[in-house]
Amino acid sequence: MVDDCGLDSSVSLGFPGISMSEFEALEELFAAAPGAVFSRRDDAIPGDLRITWRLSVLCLVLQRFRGNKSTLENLHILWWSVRSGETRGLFLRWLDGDKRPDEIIVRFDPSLAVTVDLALGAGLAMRTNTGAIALLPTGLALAVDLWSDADVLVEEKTFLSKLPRSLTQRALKELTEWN
Amino acid sequence: MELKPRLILRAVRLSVGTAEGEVGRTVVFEQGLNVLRAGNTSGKSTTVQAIIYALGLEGMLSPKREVPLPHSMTDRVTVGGIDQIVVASSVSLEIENASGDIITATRQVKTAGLDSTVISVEFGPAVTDPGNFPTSDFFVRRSGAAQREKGFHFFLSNFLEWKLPQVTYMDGSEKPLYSECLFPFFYVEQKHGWSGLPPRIPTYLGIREVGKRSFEHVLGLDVFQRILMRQRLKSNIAEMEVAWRSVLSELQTIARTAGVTLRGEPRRISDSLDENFPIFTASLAGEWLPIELAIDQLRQAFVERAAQPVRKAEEQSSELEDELQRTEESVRSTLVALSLLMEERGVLADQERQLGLRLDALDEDLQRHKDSALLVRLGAKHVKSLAVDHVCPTCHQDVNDGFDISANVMTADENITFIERQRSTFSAAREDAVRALRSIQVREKSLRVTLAGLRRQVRQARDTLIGPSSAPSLADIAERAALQDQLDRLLENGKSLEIQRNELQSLALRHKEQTELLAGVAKSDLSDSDGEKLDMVERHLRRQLRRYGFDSLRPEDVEINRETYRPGHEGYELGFDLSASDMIRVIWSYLFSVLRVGEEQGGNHLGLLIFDEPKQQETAQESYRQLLHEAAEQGQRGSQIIIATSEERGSLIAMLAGTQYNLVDIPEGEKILAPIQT
Repeated sequence: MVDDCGLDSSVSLGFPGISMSEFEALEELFAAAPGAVFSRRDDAIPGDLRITWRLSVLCLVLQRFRGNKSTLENLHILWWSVRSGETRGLFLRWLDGDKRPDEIIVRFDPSLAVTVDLALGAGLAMRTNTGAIALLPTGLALAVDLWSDADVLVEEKTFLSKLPRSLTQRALKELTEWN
Repeated sequence: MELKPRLILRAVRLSVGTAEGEVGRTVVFEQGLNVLRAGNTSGKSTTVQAIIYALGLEGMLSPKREVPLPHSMTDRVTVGGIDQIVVASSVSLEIENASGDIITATRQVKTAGLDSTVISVEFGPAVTDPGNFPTSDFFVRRSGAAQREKGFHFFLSNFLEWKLPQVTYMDGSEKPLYSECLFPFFYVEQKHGWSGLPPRIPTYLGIREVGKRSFEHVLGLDVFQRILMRQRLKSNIAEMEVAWRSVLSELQTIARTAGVTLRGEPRRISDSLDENFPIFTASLAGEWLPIELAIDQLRQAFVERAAQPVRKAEEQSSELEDELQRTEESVRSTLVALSLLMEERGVLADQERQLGLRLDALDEDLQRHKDSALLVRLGAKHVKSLAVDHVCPTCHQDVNDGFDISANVMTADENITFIERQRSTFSAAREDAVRALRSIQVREKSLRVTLAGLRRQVRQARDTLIGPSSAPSLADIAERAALQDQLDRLLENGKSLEIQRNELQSLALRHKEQTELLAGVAKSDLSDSDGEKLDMVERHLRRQLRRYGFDSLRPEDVEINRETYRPGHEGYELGFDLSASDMIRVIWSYLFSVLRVGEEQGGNHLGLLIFDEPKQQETAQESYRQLLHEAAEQGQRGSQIIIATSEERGSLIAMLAGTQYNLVDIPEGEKILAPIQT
């Protein structure tokens, strides 16, 4: 039996307009095609998980605090704020005293804990008796180098330079408390 | 003909510092033939590779980013029979250009704290006659090395007065040809250089027909000029297309204000060749008529109306009621269409905003990866183990980037390309959304205009119907005013529409002319003088093949393929049909022929040829002797030839008898990297 298209439609396949012979031809075509090759590709990661980036920004941030040291809590606040355009704007506005109750609150990021550990291990920073994280001379030297290189961490440095000269722990605490 | 080469290598100095003192050597080259003789594994290749390394050209050998020097320069070196760790190493190359200016380029191989992508240039003969010369740093092996002012290859091409031509890349962009693609004509490396027909031009840089472009540039073929011409025509054509587009959009604006639509609107510039298109049409009583016809009919209608008195409201009432109903129906359906359109616009606007946010986030992330790639340099100074070696300073296990979330992470460079690819996808999607939004806005605006007109009609019909029956029909008056208004607008804008249409046509005509010119240039290939140059290369090739005792084919049957510019036979590239030693003879002959023609006919050949161990595959002694003589003769003509060989000293001197040459002989048993007495 031959239909109007001139194709053999004696075998119905449930697909209008496709006959058995076409299926066979397609099957042959696929069988003849070279096999697909899947090769493993490494994972893409967010840039802020790159070790050089996180250690550098940590040193820059710590250097902005009075005495180059900060509690872990306040470090979290700055770590959170430095990482996106939105949070940077928000944080600067808060510092200006313009805070609105419906705004998102600071998120604590586990990657900071790891970053601090790395910095401690690498001798960039140390933990003081009170538990605060303080820059060591190597970390300070890195921060100074970073400030003098105009091509790196431009956004981050612009943001940090808009903060008050040296941030006190109390000012920050007040900033993030809702009452 | 004594022609000064563009580049003369004056001296190269290798130095390696170890805890037990410094080893190294300075090799001084002269113009003409230089033979560097030393035993096997004594460091000849190191010396020659150091020249390439000092010029930052290792990219000609492979896309790898490794230092192309053996481990005696990077890792361990034998000093006085004892293995020593290499503490610091560098190479310096003193070169002279055709104007006699001398510079010395120094590049670190392995020195803590110093970057091997920096080449320090001293403006003087710092190797052969040290002194206090002004110094400047340039970078290599990073993007921009060939185009930015601080890039070494940019500096080098200026120094050599080597104007690197623009070539087309696989992605359609146009950038200068890389120096890495030209050096294979000047240097044959020992390990891979003799295994196939030269030049081995790197293809990983993504330049279209890179082999041909390089050859054309080296010999200054006119074909290159034609390609430039082609590029210029292409850019003219592109400019006209832009102009055409802007005239078309102006025309569309005028048409919109005049209430005129375009029929047969041109899509491509070539559509404008017909002066009758687009046809301007105006709507008259629900029908679209060509503008001239519309103007005539409007005039006529206007005259007819003016001849009759304004009708009274009652005369028109039944007619008006029907019309009111019809118009109200139209208002409703237009409103529906409009609200659908607004909904669609809302969705698209939202999509566009989301894509924008996504792009911002990608940009920020991209910047971080770029930063961290740069930061490795600074990190190397302060936190080397973490930043460079990726080893935890406390537990000494591997700590890779992003180990918090994955064990197999892309390198920063891979990640950058990955994000850039995403970026281009998203920005294409956003452009689409923006385009769709713009077209919706146009449609929306026109619907609103229609709606306002319909509403006015409704109002007037109502006013007339509820007004006193003996009053003049407002609808009738309004209709007259509308007629007058439409007629005025058409008359006013008809002229400027026509002017724009003529402008479109004249652009299209010029565009056609340029396109035809382009087709003409595209077809023609080699000019007469190109043909002569290729004939000469062929003659010199055959002459040398004969001289070196080539016998796989008759030398006169070997030709230079006019398509690929490479040696071939009956249209096929020479290859497997040759004996191994004949292949070597072809390589010698070909590169020397290109050098010879470049020297005689001008072009951009550097006048330099470096062969690292040209005696391969047990080449017959007599062939080798002839090669040395050919090299010496070419050296006499002004070129600089450097041949590194491990040929035994006595037989080498015998073969060189009767020629002028400079022999740098490293005695048997001695290494190139020998202790330096300070």
